[in-house]
Amino acid sequence: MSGAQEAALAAQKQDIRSRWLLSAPALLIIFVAAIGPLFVMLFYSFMVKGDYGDVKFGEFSLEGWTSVFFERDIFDDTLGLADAHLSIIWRSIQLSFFTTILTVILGFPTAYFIATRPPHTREIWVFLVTIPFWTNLLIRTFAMQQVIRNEGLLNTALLWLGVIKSPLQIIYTDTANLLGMTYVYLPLMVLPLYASIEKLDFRLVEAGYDLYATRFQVLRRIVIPLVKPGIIAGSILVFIPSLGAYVIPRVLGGGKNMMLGNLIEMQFGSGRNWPLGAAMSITLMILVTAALIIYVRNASRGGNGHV
Amino acid sequence: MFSRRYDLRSQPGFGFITLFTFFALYLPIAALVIYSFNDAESLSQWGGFSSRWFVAAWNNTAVQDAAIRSLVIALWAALLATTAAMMAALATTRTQPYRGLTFKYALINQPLMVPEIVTAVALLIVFSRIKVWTGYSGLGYLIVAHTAFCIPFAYLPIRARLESMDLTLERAAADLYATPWMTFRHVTLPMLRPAIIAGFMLAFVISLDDVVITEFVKSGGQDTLPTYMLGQLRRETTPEINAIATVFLALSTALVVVFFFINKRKQ
Amino acid sequence: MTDTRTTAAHGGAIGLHGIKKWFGNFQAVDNVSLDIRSNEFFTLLGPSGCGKTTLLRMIAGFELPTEGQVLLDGVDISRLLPNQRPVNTVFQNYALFPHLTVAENIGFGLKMLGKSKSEIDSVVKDMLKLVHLDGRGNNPVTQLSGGQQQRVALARALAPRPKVLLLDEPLSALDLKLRKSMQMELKRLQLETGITFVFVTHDQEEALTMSDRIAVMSTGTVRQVGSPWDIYDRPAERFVADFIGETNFLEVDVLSVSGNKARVRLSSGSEIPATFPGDVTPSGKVTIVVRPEHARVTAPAAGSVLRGTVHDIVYLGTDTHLHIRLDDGSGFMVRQQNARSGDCGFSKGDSVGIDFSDDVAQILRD
Repeated sequence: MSGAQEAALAAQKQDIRSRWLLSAPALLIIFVAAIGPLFVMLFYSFMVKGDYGDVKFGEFSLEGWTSVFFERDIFDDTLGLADAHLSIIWRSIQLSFFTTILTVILGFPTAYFIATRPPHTREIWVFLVTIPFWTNLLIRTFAMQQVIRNEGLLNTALLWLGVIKSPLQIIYTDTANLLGMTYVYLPLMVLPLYASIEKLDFRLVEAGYDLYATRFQVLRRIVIPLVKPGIIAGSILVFIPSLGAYVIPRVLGGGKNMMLGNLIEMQFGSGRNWPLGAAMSITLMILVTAALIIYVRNASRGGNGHV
Repeated sequence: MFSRRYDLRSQPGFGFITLFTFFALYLPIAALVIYSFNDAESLSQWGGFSSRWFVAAWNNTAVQDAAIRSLVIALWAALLATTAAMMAALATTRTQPYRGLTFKYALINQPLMVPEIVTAVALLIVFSRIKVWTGYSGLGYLIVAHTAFCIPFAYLPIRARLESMDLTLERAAADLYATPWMTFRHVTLPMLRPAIIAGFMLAFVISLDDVVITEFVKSGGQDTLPTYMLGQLRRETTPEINAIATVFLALSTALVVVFFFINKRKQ
Repeated sequence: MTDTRTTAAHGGAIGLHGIKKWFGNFQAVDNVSLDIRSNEFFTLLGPSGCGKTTLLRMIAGFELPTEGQVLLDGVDISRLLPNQRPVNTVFQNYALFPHLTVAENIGFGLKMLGKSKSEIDSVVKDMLKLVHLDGRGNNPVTQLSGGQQQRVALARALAPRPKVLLLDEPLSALDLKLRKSMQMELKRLQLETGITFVFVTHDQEEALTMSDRIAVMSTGTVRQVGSPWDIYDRPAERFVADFIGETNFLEVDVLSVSGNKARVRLSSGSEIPATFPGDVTPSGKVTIVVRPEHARVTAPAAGSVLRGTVHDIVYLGTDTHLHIRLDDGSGFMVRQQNARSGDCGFSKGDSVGIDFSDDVAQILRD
């Protein structure tokens, strides 16, 4: 090996070393305050719960994990399915799924409409989507609460119009959760959809019409397949936070219509069962990862090489 | 009408759905703002126009404390996150792939991939034990936690900007006798400035908005504005909370507007 | 230290000794040795991917050679960083700093060298005058036209008075007309400043117009170095002949050799003299090249060097191309200048003879 080669190799090594040094602060902070704790939590999920919260350090047990899915009968000590937990997990999945569907139904036409405006007005529309996006989630949830509660805007308007005789009970139901999540996460669907529709080459649409497609066929056979990556990106962005929703069901769903996030919180609060809470959190992460894998698989299958 | 029917890109009903979407997006916010000017004691009825709840909120020491705490945390977190993110972005862009590069991407974006509630309880577990061990229970925990989840947001625009800048300009500077540090100072940094500002503002807003992680990490008496509001929502609420929300809303809208114009000037 | 980088009483001479460059498993430059003389306008010419830009970047210091040395006035600079070399580059897309004004761009190098503000100001002023941008100093560079940006890039690279100026296809982004005037401009600047210019291009016409000497490159190696005249009229091998201009290749037999001339017999039986590159002695079957403008179409005669029929006539404004099918079946092209308007005097299917001007045939090395 010549001296020049050695010098080049050394320079490359030096470059990589300084790149590690540069990224060290970010990696360290994320390790300490994001990833590391997840491993500690995994460890905690296999410990015996403490009498007043926390865990009995060093005493191991699978109790936390079994009680995610099963419960012990108080009388004969047999294991049965933990219906309460399972129904909450199932409800969370369902609600997140329907939230995703609703945001697509509203978000796709909106994003398409914005993307087909002239460039200068387009910016204003996008800006109008961005404002709610950056508005505090709690404030938007609270705003929704004021619309759908019994004396709220919606019921007042409907009563005044004579459509209903007595207020509709929306708040503290699953419908409230669904409406709240759709409302809060809608911008997360519109923005990626817009980004991918904006990149669409509308000459392809013209080519579609030229080849005798109707408006609907153009939409279905040309536009939607081409912007599928955007739909998938939006769906991931909506589904994941929906599944882990905590604030929205707490404010709108009330005590009876909990989602997984609230169930987890309960184990660290009044439930005083940290191992169970930890196991549930990891279950939630597994669900999210599974959803991600399904979406990504779908994306790579239907991508057709278009971006 | 004629031209609209022959706009080949339009789809029937899409305009209507768009209008509905925007109506639905803004109606609740409008209601919230309007009710913050409600003179009545309760949100249930309209008692005439008044700004007295803004005055009440302003004089509420709990709100003052929470607001100041929110700003302090957001400033620190945004500052630390932007610095760390800028360094990380410089380290992960404009290079041949090297061992560990994908690992870095994954790690930096990890906070985006995990539901907040999961991170929140994991931090609760770890920090509660550290609090017992060290006896320290100050704002440090919140700042570190916020910094961690702000990093990916600050990283995003800076990385995007760096990737759109090829190395030619830095090479040109080196060719014109600039040392690596001078190149960074006179070429890289000025060109990155809009992205750094954008990253900082994103991080700031994200930190300011956080409810869940703060709720689980905070020690007693460390309410931020959002956790204070969350606590209030459990009770029968007065328009005071609307007033707080309205001010908060105005602040984040102002930030978004500034952000928007910075972005616009960049193009 | 700053002084050694900038005081250029004369242009520097570049020596490349046994340069090799590998990118992973790809060899971009294969054992190139070249001497670029002081004060000359030297061009690296070749198709894209031939290694010419890599070679330039190694002179500038953006790449380290895997093997070999880069010398400047006899001193090895291979290991110096770009900012330590008294060599400046005009980049292909100019690489102007978008956040700085025209004057700040031009003064950048001097500022980095720690020159005083007054010195920078006066040099910048001179440079603006030199490239005809007086009064534009405070404009943002983003508002300039392509041609003006080009001038700023030139002024920026010239301002520190480097010993060598490297130009990486600087004219490729300009339109034809602007390119022509910038060619003259570059030549003027080179003469006025006395700086050695190393110019990279894939455009043979550009290379022929401006250069004192040209190195033709292909697949990482230098195929021929010489004056534009050498390269065009005396191509040493098929690649060079083919890459530069249009050419007729003819298979011939070598009859005798004396000095640097050989006597060869064409397929038609005619015998003509041909030159050959100094480093080979031709024998047996070889290929010669004859440029289309060095041949004439005549009425068929016994003394014609070649005979054939007119296959196609292409009118090109200044010239007419006559495509002749030779009697042995191969093709031959003659370029005839349109000295007067009207037709070229021949029509398709005519039987014709072809004569060569004296001393135009060149034997190829391979």
